[in-house]
Amino acid sequence: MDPLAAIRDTFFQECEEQLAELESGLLAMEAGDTDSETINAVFRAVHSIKGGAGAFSLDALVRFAHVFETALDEMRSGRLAPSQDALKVMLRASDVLADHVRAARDDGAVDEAHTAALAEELKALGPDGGADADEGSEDDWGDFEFKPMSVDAPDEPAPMVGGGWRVAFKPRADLYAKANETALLLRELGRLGAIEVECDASALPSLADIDPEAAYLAWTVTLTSDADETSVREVFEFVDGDCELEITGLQTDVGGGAGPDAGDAPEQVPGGDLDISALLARAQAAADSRPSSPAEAIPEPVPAEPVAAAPAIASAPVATATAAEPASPDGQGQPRKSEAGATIRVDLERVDRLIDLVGELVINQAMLSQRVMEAGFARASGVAMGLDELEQLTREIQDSVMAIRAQPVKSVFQRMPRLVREVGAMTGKPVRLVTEGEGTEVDKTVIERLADPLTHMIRNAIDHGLESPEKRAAAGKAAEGVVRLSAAHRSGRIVIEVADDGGGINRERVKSIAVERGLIAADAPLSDEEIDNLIFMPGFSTASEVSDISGRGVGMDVVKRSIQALGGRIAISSRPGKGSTFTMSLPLTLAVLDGMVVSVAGQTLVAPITAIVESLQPKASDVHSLGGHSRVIMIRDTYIPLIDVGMALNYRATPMDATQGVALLIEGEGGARAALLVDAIQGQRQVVIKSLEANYRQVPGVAAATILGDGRVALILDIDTIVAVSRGADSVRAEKRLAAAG
Amino acid sequence: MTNTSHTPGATSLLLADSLDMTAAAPLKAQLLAARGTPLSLDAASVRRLGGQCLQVLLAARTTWQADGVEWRIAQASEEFADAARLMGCPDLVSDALTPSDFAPL
Repeated sequence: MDPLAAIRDTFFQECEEQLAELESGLLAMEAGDTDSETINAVFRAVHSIKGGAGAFSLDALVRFAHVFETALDEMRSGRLAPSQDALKVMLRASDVLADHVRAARDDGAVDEAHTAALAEELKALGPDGGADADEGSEDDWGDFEFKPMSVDAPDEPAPMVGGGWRVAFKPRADLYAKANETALLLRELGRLGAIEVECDASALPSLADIDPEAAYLAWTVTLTSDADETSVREVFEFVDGDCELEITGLQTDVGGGAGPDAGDAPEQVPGGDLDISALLARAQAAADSRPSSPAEAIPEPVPAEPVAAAPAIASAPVATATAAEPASPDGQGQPRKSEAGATIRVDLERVDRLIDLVGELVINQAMLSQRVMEAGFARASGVAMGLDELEQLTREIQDSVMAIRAQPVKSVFQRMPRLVREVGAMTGKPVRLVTEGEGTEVDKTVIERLADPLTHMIRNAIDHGLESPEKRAAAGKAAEGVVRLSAAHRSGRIVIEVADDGGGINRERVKSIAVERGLIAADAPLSDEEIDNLIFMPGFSTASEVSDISGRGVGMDVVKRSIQALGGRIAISSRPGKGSTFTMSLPLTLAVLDGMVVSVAGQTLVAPITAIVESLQPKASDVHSLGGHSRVIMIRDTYIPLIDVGMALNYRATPMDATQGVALLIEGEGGARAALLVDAIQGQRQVVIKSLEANYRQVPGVAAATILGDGRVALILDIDTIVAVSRGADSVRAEKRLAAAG
Repeated sequence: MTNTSHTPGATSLLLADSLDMTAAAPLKAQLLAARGTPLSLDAASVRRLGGQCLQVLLAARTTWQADGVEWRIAQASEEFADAARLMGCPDLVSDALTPSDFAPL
């Protein structure tokens, strides 16, 4: 990648971070935190984006960011109160800013009318905003792409009527540090008319003493142009505060003489009218008085004094300032950067590769252990103990590596406020989004695949979940609906909830639609929970008309499938009049899994340990047949379906004797319990997940595969599917029986 | 004018493509390492010249002249020459060959 593209990439990555900062800051302000720190952080975010965008000449972005920043500056200085209305405009402005950033990144387009409208709103927030907006609107925003000031200046010679300007400009180190460049500024000035530039190097130390990242040079520019002072100042608007700037008008008697010796320049940089050769001559003269011994000078830093004295002759005040600056006497040219930050950016690919390798290491270590055991070493032997330590270490390495890829769900959650605002506006429902547990960490691979289902569920919650403001008022609820998005760690998984305080699921309607679509029989006896779960069925969509918001041909079934593909479960609970809650439970990582290794019909299988509540040896008296192959087992006075895994996976055609096997009591989605009957338990271990879908294809009842210590492949059970399939099979059989009876 | 590359002990330095802020420190180090020897700089591939590298170059020139050792920019790209002129230091490239010197007559 060429360096510029790399810098550009970094800029856009940083933009994303700044946008996130911006939004969370604004949301905090909306929630009442109008601390000056927060306002400053928000301001800085927009300012940084603007600065970077300026360096890449992203004009449209810079323009909008500038208007935004101006409004924020008003707020920062206390002239504009952080009212809810103002903050709402700013939040929408942050959305537009994000659009601009993304458009600039992907060479896409932005909705210019929308941008212009919002820019107007931002301007109107200012103290004299109304007037300003009225006169400036057309020119500034009608043609967004161009800077008005640069339209016609460069080509034709500037008219001599207005005289011109003398610009004394001395950058500070910050100007360079913020990726601004003198040459670009001077070039911009050149667009306004003819320029004569003089460089004042009087403050420049000797090469050995120079701090490569400090700023020593100053410039005096004589600009012959009829441009007004504002246009000249605009050139420097992004470096305001990072340079000393003095703009003075020239006399109208235009000519060569108007420049450097215009006597009225206040605070003119002393020595500013020296030209380089004169300066060099002085430096030369000063240096001549010094014995020059180049051979000696090479290895050792040159004493600072003699050369530094040269500029001192030329201009005392500036040189004094220079002397005060810390010189780097080591002369090795080491950049004196501040300590590197606490974080580094690493290509995700590298981390993924590391995780893969550690996965292999875990497998290899397991194989080695097994070989050692097979070789007949005693458990207490040095080799076996060393292997135990190795196992411990491997596990720690694995945990640490996984932690590298873990990220707070914040990165997904923070995309949602915008969605909520937009969907709320489209549906005409006032909505407030409350998020909790943004800091909950989960593997990046999980996070990436969370965004789509979450987006869809939140859309649904607003579009279908929340009632219209009128209905809410009638039900005695606040007009503003609340959608709650929360994340938490619970027993080795991450649980994400999307809850709304709407009307809850209209079960009658859901049922009638399901009947209408032929998804269920009209007289099917369904529990409330079962009805709620109908919305996850393929082909079900409650919106009678396809709405703009939710109806994209994607139903909750797709959400469910994408959650399941992540090894997760989704459940719904709904209370009429109170709202619905969707609960997703997801594994923290897609790379490893703690599993119970079991044998079934001569095969080795792995059951995810998170799903297992307990294991027990069934007694003949506890197992009851329900006819066909359906059986239940009584565990502590409750009958629980007993599923023969060998049958479910078609390893055998006839059910095994329950008393010969082991039952694993598992808890599936929505708290439904079942017992899985397996032949024997081999043990418990952490397994590295190898995707079956990526390497073969999806197999019902099997979530993934792993490689065992002896090198054999073992399948990882998809417990929910097994339970659902056995239940479905049972209910089909039950229905058949009913049909035959009726 | 003598060609410095033929002078015994002379150093020729090829300047980096992008002389922006990050290039200033390495440039200083490179130049310091060459101190005391006649120096010929090749700026033919420079696409960008920032204020801080300009500072380092100017300081180097002053130092070389103070040492009484030859210092010159032998070749410069248009971009380099442009930037130097724009920043008020046309003499920096006054004896450098630029691409326009090779333009067909």
